[in-house]
Amino acid sequence: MRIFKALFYLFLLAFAFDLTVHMNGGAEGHGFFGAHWWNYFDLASVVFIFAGCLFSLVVFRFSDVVFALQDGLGFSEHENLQERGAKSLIVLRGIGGFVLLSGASCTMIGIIQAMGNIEAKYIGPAMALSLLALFYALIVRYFLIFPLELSVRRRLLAHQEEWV
Amino acid sequence: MKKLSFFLLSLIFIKLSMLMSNQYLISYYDTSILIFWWIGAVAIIPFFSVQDWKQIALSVKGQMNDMKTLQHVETLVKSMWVFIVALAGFQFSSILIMALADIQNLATLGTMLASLLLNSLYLLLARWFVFSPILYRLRYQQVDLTSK
Repeated sequence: MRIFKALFYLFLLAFAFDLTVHMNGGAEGHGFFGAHWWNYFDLASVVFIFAGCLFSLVVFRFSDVVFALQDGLGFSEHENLQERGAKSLIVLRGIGGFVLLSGASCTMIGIIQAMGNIEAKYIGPAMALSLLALFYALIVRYFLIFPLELSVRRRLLAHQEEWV
Repeated sequence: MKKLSFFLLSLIFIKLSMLMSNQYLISYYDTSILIFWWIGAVAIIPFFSVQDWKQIALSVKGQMNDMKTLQHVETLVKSMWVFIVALAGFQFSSILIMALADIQNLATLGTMLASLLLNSLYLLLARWFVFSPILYRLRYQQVDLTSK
């Protein structure tokens, strides 16, 4: 039930984002900024963020990452959660941290590139493109990892209350 | 071995991402900033005792089984990071002053700002590849010890 609720909220969020894009330009090209959906997609930034996610496997064991995701999604048993809840929290926080760091690094690389070839005509699009990585990193950190982290924390608290 | 392969894989993805946007790693290499970082790294050494360095090395290897020492090492690594951020801030401000004092045209300003940001990029990479992994590993070991 909780997953459906989360999906519903994600849908609402996507709808709000779509509305914002449409109000600022959208498919018809009206509005102030002439924003389009495809302005928000850059494969290179996605690959860089993925590298950030992958790096967490260098620090944490693969099995612990899988357990942390399981704990976050609510697929684990109560006894298991008590044993590895604290570890799962660290793993999730770590993944979020690495994603943010990779996003910030990618943005910095883009801005350096933009500054190296500074021209009034190209500086805007180059800066917009470079900020996309940070945008993706924030989405992953706060819309994917953070809810999982909160879920683990809530379940741990509930478990401790049961024990008391 | 598994960790090394994940590390190489993530490096390959970074390289792929840079190739996709027509960028080359060599253009992000700046000798003057790196020399500053090396001097900074050498300057850190006397701030900590030999015992501290030994404890840091043992903890990073995962051979430390004492909770208090692990907490102490975590504090040491955090203070090391603060020192490095202060060093980067010093370098950042010195280059910014130089860039602003000598504005001749937009292209020169752009190049100066790029080298200014290169310093921040190195700082971010140090956090990503060195300090964050060490700090997370230390916290991980602490949780391991608590659960035992």
